[in-house]
Amino acid sequence: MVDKRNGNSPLSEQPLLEVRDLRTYFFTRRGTVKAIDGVSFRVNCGEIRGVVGESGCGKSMTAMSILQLVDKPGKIVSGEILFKGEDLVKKSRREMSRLRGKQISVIFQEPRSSLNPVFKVGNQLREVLHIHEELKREQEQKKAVSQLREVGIPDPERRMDNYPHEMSGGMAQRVMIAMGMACAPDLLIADEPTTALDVTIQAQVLDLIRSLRDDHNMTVLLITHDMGVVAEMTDNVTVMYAGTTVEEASTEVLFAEPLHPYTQGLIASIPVMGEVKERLDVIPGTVPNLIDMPPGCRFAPRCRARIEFGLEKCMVEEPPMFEVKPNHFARCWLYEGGGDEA
Amino acid sequence: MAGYLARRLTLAVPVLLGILFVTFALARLLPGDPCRSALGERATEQICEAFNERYGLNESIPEQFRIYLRDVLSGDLGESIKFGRPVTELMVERLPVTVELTFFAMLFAVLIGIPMGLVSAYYHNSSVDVLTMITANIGVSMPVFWLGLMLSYLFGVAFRDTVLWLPPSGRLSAGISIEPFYAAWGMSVNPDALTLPGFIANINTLNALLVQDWNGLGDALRHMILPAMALGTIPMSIIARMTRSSLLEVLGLNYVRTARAKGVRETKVVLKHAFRNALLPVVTIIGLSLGSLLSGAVLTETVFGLSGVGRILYDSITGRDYTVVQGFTLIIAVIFVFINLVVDTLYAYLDPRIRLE
Ligand SMILES: Nc1ncnc2c1ncn2[C@@H]1O[C@H](COP(=O)(O)OP(=O)(O)OP(=O)(O)O)[C@@H](O)[C@H]1O
Ligand SMILES: [Mg+2]
Repeated sequence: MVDKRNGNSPLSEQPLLEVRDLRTYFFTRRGTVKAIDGVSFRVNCGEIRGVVGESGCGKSMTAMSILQLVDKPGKIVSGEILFKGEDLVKKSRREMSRLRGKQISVIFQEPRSSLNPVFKVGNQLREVLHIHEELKREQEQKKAVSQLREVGIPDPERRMDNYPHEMSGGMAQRVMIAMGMACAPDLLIADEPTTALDVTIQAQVLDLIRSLRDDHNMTVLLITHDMGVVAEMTDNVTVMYAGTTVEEASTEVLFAEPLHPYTQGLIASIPVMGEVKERLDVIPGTVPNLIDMPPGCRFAPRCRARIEFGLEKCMVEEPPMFEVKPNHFARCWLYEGGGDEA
Repeated sequence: MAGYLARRLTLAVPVLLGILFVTFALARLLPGDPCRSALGERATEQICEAFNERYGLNESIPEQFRIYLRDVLSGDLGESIKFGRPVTELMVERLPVTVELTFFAMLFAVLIGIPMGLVSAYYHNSSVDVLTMITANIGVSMPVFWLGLMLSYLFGVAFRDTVLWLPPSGRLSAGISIEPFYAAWGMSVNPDALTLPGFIANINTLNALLVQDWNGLGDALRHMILPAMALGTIPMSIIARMTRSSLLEVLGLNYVRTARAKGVRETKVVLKHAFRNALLPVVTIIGLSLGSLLSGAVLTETVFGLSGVGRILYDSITGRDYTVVQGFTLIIAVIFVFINLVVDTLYAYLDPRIRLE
């Protein structure tokens, strides 16, 4: 019953990316911050996989761990990150820099501060091509311009000469996307790509990501804290809480039948248009301190289900991932016996 | 960029006017009677009357300022009371010494300080970092005159008759002289007037370079090493610390993360993406350090027996030779305005956001 995913999938379905029991810790003076402590999920070719969770639950760190860009004092202490079957954790610095921007690229939350203020955006875009592809100068320029055009930047030739401060956030994010797409990567990681943008621009950028996925058969790992974005964009979802994955399912199933009490809380907290709620249904309490994690389930202190069902194990022992239904996993003692009681 | 520079230049005009006013006022505010301090306590009323007449000190203050302005604008900075020579002449003689010294001190500071900071930041928290920063912290707290004396003792005395020996004083060895470049090029120049060729010819290293006198160049450079090190150590240490902290800050910024995510190699991330941004505060520090170099130059010039601006300013202030004080203060201030302009230009070159303002 416990986490059977490894092994029971036929080889033909090898996922593009598989993260297995990843742990990334920060060794600070105040103690070890277990920013990521047991994250597992897989991303299949061509899908948009959502990773969702509250602020600080380790979503960005997961992305940085995949790219092997965790800064000191952080360190991946255990786990595997299999990309096309090869473990990225074991790759050398040189191998990783050959991979980044070419096979896996990433776009970030703050597009304007993610571009270097002292270089023209055109040159920053061309740099990716320069590193990973052997092109003549004119070809490089041409390709960069066509990339800008593809992400919907009007008058791309002129925009090549702009500095980041001469662009709006939405435009800058399009440049970031163009940079991410320049070498046609297999995997695009989008870490809250629209959080810093206006609502209308948000929709445009999300549409752009989806249409690029469709046109290039790319795989997207979409990180967000917005359940609305998850519902609209993703095929499958991984829910994270305090550095661990707590639920995994297809998007449809997750919204129809959330299993983990935390996921249920998240879904209940989505404001519904046109409906005035008595109170916004947020989850009471706060995320536990990542230095002194409670011994049992990390969500136990905030969990209503625990009290309702009188579960005692929760405060003592951390639950594993249970495959409650086919391809629907939850890390909760409620489903120890197979989930029928839920 | 051109528009930005034009604006900066226009802004410099009122600053220069202000400087003219302040230097004028400062000289009048110096305590003590200029006549008596120049000619001695026993100068008679009559002699002082003639003295004041000659130097225009009998006029009303506004009138004096008007005359001063007119003279300055026509390139006449008056005559030294003590030396009886035009101040401009003294400038052509003294300024090159200090300019040369400051230049080499700054060159030393930048060429050593920036790499120190870079290495320190790149190997953050390693033993290399700790060692570099200990060196820098010692360097900052080193008194200039003490360091100067130690260096001249070490290299000039202790290492005498070894290959490490360096001349502990003066600008050129006895018996070595470098032909002024204007003479070598057959230009006719009055060596005493305030002219650019005269000024340039007095910068020994530059002059030697122009006439391709390698022997002279080598000798002039050897004389420069110790004073430049003595004067450059403090700014070197400041620059090293600033480069390190600035770089460390920039290395944590989002666009550096982007560069890494693009697949840029780490050395290039540091040298290309982070370094240029990190240089901005360093450039400011370099500009500011040039100011403190000048006060350091007084001490350095004394220790190493160089007769530059520092020496003459000190002598003139104590001797109430205020045409000289006035003239040199003015030229130093003008140099400052110029340095600031260069710093601003460099800033605009490094950071496109500034060109906009
Ligand atoms: N340099 C660091 N030192 C110590 N702890 C860190 C450091 N960087 C990140 N963390 C910890 O890692 C945890 C996860 O951070 P992460 O940025 O991945 O969160 P997130 O889920 O992306 O949140 P957000 O929605 O705010 O972006 C944070 O709670 C933080 O405490
Ligand atoms: Mg984040």
